[in-house]
Amino acid sequence: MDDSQIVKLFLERSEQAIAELSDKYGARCRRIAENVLGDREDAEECVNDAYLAVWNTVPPQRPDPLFTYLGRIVRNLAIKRYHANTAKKRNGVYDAALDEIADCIPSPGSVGEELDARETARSVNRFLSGLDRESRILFVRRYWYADSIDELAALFHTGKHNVSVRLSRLRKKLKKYLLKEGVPL
Amino acid sequence: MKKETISTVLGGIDERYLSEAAAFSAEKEEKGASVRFAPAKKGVRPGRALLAACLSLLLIGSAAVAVAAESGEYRAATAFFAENGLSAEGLSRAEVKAVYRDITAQRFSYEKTAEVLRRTVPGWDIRQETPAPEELSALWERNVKKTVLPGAGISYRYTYQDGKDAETGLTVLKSSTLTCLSGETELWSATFTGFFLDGCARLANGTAAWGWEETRSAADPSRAWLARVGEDGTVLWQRRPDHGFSREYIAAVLENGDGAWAVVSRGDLKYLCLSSYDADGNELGFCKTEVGNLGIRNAARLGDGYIVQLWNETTGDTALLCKMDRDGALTDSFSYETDTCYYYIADMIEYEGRVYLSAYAVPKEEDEGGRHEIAKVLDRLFPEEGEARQITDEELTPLVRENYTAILLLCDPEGGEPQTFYSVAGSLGGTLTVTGAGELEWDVNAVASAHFSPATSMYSIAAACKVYRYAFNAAGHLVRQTDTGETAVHAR
Repeated sequence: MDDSQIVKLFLERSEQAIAELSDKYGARCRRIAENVLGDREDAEECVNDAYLAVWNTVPPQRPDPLFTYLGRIVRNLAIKRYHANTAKKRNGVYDAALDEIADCIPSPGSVGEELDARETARSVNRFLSGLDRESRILFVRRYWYADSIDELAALFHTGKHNVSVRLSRLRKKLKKYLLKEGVPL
Repeated sequence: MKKETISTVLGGIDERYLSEAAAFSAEKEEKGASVRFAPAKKGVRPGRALLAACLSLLLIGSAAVAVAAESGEYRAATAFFAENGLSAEGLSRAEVKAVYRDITAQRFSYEKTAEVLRRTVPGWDIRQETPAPEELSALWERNVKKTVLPGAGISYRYTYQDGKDAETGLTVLKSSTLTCLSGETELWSATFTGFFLDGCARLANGTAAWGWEETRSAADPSRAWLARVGEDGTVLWQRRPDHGFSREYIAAVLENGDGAWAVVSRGDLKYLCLSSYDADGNELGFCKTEVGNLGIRNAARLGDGYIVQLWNETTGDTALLCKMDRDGALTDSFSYETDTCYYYIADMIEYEGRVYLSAYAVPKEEDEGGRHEIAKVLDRLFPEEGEARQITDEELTPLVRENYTAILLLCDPEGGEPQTFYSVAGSLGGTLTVTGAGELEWDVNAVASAHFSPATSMYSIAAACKVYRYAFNAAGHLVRQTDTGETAVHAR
């Protein structure tokens, strides 16, 4: 079923909407959540909460593309749960991804922190627009989708070594870019 | 708190990029999906069996085209393997096809490709055997230094002539002589007075020789000099460029492809410079960029510009690469490193339009204290502060072998980003040459025996290495591995 038909089911308040959404994007959503949380049960709960969030927001929202709308909700819920989890329950893989990029993202300021974060996000988007397609996808899959190095190596048909090197280079480029844009690091 | 900020920032990534990444992943997943069907079960009522059979036929029919295409590609892949003497042992069907695509598209980025290239055909001994004791003894006695440059068997030898300075009575360098040999036969000699000969390169329109002015003291200015030597050894011209530096040295001379030479030099220990000269020695252009305290290790043409390796071991910049355009402006720079390894680039060369870099990787250690590439080995030798343990060469050698991995990197001319092409454990990347037969030869120094001598000033660990030579053809296939019988010493 295509996205517009699924959205139509939501607008008609048909219960079939959730089933179709789950059928089409359930696996990918569970993967996003699992990449962040590292726990299948927690991930499952997040995804179910995300379906409910979509049910509650569509309408008035009419998301297009549907997957990224749903994916953002899943990710945000997963991250909230991640931060709420105790240190013991945290996911080493997601932690590693955040640690990798920590050097490139500014420390929280005392005032207007959310504003700073939004501004920085805009700079990151400008940075991404200047990358070649593969590098951009690699960056987004690692730091938004939280894919592991192994998964990225399989996805790009290359060695883990090459993936690590490319990511290292992208982070350095990002840091240089943000400094040039006047983002204090 | 900081991680929440990072999550928030990353959460603001534009939807276009999320969709692009999602589509990329979905496309890869679809390509990896296989068609399955269920055969009819025994004991099922005729109606259901017929339905199951019809479904099977339908699925077979719709999959037939895909299966035929897949078979065709697999047949092409196996034929390619057979033709090039590659072994598919241990590879799945999908991996055979993936290696075939990787090589024919000249990407060389798939890790299985490297494994296949390592194996080649049965009968070729790719493994580096442990040398016999008598070989080890002979290795320590031999240390051959050779300068062999591209061209069928052409090599160069530098010799220096000293004399007494009339004013001071001190012994100073009077002249340098460059001798060109074919095998053991001397073809010509050229002598340069008052200059220290530092390097040469055999180019299409003669031999470029370069060095610097000899001075009496470090306070005197020292300019670089450059000369063109003809095929018969005649010095066609010499130049002492004046770029306003008190000290300049030339690191590399490259062909521009239009008869002109591109000269990469370093000025006043902080500028990276590119100048160009026509066939008559007239300077056509000059550009300098301040890069700080970074030495120039190597340079090669990359596409329409150049790639230059910069180096400062004390700051850990051992694999810093810069891209320059044709006019000498820096367009990009990157370090080759990972979270777990440092890389040292030993040589670079242009071959078939791409740049290859010979390097070696060593493990990154938390607290090196200036011990750099042998930090991990020294950690084992100094378990307690100030106390060195006793260790024999036999015990030390495997530790040193474990420390080093030779890596051959390949640079794409568009992106310039190095990718691992080939690696050899227990070894260091050596020189790269392009032979007269049009093959790329990569010398790999395999650690054969290591010795620990903490009281020696020149080194703490010295390794005698056997030099193996790997030859690749223009398609990037490994065609030969030979034990050159030569030795190299690696001392740190």
